[in-house]
Amino acid sequence: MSKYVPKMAEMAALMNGQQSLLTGKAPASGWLETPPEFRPGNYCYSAKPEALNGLGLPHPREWDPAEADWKLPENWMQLMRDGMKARLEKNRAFKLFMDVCVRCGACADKCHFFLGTGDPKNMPVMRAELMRSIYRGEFTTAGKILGKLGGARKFTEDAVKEWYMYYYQCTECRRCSVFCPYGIDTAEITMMAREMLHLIGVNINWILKPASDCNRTGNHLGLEPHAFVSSVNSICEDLEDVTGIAIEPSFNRKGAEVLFITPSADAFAVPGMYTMMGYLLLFEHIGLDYTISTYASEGGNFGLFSSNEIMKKLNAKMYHEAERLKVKWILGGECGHMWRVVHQYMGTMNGPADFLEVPKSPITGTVFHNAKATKMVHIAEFTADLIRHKKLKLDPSRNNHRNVTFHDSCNTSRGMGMIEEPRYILNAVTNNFHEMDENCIKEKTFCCGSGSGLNTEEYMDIRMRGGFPRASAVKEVKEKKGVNMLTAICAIDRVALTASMNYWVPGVGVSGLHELVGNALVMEGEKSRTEDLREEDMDVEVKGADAQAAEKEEEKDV
Amino acid sequence: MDLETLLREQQDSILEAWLNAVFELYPVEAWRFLKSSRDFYQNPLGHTLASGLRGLYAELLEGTDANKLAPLLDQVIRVLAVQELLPSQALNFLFYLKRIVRTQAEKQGLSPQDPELLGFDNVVDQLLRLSFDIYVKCRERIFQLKVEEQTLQTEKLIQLANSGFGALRKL
Amino acid sequence: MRILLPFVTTLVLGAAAYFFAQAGAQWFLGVLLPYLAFVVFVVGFSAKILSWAKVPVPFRIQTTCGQAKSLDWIKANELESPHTKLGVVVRMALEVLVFRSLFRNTWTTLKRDEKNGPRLVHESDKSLWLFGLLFHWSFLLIFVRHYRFFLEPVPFFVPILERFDGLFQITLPTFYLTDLLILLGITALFLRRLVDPKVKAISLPADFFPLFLIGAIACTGIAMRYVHKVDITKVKAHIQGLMAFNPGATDLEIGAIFYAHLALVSVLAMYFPFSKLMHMGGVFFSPTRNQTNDSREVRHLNPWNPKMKIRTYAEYEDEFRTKMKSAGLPLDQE
Repeated sequence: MSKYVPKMAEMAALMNGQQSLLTGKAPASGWLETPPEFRPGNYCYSAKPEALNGLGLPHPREWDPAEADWKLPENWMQLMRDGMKARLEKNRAFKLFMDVCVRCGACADKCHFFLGTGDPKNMPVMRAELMRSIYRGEFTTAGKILGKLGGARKFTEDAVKEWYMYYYQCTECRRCSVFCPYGIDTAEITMMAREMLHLIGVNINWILKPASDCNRTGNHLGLEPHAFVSSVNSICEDLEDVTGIAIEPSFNRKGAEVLFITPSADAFAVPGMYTMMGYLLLFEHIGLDYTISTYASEGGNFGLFSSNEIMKKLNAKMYHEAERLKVKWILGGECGHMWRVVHQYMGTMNGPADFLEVPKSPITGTVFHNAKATKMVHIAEFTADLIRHKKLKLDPSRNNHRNVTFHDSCNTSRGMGMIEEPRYILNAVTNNFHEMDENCIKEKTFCCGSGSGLNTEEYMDIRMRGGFPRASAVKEVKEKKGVNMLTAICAIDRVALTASMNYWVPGVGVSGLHELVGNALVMEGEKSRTEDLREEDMDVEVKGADAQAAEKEEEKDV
Repeated sequence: MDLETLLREQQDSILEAWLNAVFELYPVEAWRFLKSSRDFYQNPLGHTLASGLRGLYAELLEGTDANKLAPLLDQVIRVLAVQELLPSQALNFLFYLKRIVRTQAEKQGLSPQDPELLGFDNVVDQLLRLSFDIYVKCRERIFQLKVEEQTLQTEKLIQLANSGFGALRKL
Repeated sequence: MRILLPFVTTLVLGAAAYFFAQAGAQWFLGVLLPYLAFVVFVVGFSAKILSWAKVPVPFRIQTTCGQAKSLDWIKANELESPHTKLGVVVRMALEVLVFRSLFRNTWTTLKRDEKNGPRLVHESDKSLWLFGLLFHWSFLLIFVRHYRFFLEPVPFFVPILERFDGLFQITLPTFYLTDLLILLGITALFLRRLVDPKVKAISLPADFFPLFLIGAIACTGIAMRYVHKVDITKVKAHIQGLMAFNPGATDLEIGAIFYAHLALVSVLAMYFPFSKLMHMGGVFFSPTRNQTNDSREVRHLNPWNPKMKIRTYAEYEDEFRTKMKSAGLPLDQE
């Protein structure tokens, strides 16, 4: 025997001993007995006291999920119990979803986090059971009598930690709900869990900080009004450099016909700002009378990821501003969760919006009956209508250097039923549009892996795993059809998919829908160019007003 | 029997042992539950892992062309690099291959000092060097993404700051 | 343990009923227990339904599984994303009668095609849908067939149903197809809880017990019909007596197997309201399926819509007035 052998064995044991969960020694216990383990990279950082104070949330304190002591309030158990009871009495969906699941398993492999991590607690049914087991143990007679045998348990600190881990490892994408025979919506359960965790001061910074900033300054990044304006103006400057079109959007202008609200990321992030360029070009093209608000400069609503109260508080600013500016209706930009809120909550929470008119396109005269009460129109609906009425001068060949596929955002597809409008637009503004596998698009679309406020850098490893199912579908169309651009109508997608593509499918870019629209728009007075809005080379050359004039001169000479 | 014949003839059992060993790298909760069926291969992530390992093995039988081996290694390591594994654990799969092949070879009566076997070891060692580079590149990629994401999300603001805040200079 | 316990419980229940019946407890098993079960079922079921019905639906959250009604020229999918009440009714009918959502089920699998080699696809998987449908429809048809015992005269649809069900006249008395199918369905639903590791991991005793219980009910019923025959006229007379609240007037010497069957049915009825079997009533209440997708068109009301203090524009302007002014933004108050 070599003298090295025993030492190697010792070393291996040392290595293996460090991280017991990774060594391949299966615990004999079931899932109820396997507590969550917090390691760098597998949890989001806890919310800072400032963020909680900014929103008036209880129990602000410094704490660290990786430490044993979470510094929970003394009466946390009572708070959770009361919180759960109150929600069972206030929300039928929640009560029903606690009662009717038969654990058929149809949802089990529909979750991108389960597919990406293999962790059984990421099966939607199991995620819900984390809550249901406590519901049974605390609120049903059978559960109290049968205990573990009936799959019931009581609130414990470990259970709270488990909730924190797995309800912040759900992106509320609702894919499972499509397949459930009773329509059980895990997102709803996750939202209840997060609301309850708020009661005892257990929350994540990446959601609450933007929510708090949005409340104060109007947008997630906390940009004060002057900075927001110069950011948009700077985009206009870039736009002029590329296209020769000078656009000066108005801000906080009273009496405009339309208030335009988009996720603030479009005003300062890449690739969102190219989408912003698309909006601006479009509005210029059709001569829309619109204004942008600095006070309500955020379409996104991180309240959706925390509690219905915060959601309402943040959403209320849209109507408040629309009323103050005396606009006729509101036009909303490309954003997933913003539209979930607008479509499913806004009217209920902050309506009726009697001070607004039923939206009517000033260009085509189309009345948007589907937005009769909420008075807010999705830009994809608006643009699709324009294209249908041939009001846009489009040259799709300007997008010939893009082989495009479309990622349906969870919220717009499963929460609104917006499926055909973006496709109609894509087919009009590009010549190369290819669909992904039919079982992961439209209502069956896979989440980007970073939705519902998990788009934070410390969570990158898990995000990459969660994003894998979407990425592998993209990879397939990349290999088969040469796709090089993934288009989405969601601001979180634009950021999250950029990272995910960079890691899993290098060579595929991410864009908003209206970036491609803007690129294809033939603008009056545009200058000759060979580059698109990103200042990347196009396949075709745009002959602008200058070149056309020169040509005419030549013709005259001849 | 020479090593190549052995590697070809025993392909199925070696591959199975290898795949199983790699799946044991997976967090316990996951593999305990996935390993009990063939489901893992039908999970996009497991499938990527398995098809990469299979490809790697097939390529090793054909030769030692680094240009062909590197993309396959990349496919496998890209998955392993985001699994909350220690670097040593993530790259363990190549040590497994060595051990499995040696065990099989000795069963078939090959001498541990068989020159071909030593050669095979050497090839896997080279792969390990390559893997180390790839693993580090993957992790670097992840950290780069974290940084890039921060800058991309505020790109315009950074531009503005660099240009002396444009219109705001008056303030 | 998760499987054994419910299995043994079912066996013990069935066997106990059988032996008590032989020991002369017919009055308890044949009269008291069914009445008790009936009361528990009706009260429990109604209470549960009421407990859902009285909870408000604060938000209109549908799961849209198809194109919504938007612009006139875009074809809306009224079944998957209903815009009208009628659409909702049809959607619910499809869900309840043919398990629409389960029909959508997929599983991820390796597919080999010659050109591109193996690739991973999300393929349609109808097995759960099929076995679920077999089980539930057989159960319903068998239940309806039992109206022969409940009602006099026998309703017209019962003999029709019996004729179709007994299409294969291979035994005497006529062999009923549903008897076979329900056992097939139960067996398949049971086996997938063992074979599929995902479903195995999530299964509780409460998932196995109803399967065993209903299986045992089906078995005792089949045994009564083909093997251990009992006098059907006596059964009918007894049931009629129960329903006329005049029990005990008829001959209770029917055969222990009948009492075992009846006792198991009674247990099922009593277990029903407190278990996942309430999905039968619950499915109609599911807010993601039973609401119209018109939340931007018609305002949905939330009875507890909380009053929230928002950050008003005035407060915002107060904080940032100087900065807004220098950026050239219009102000409400100079």
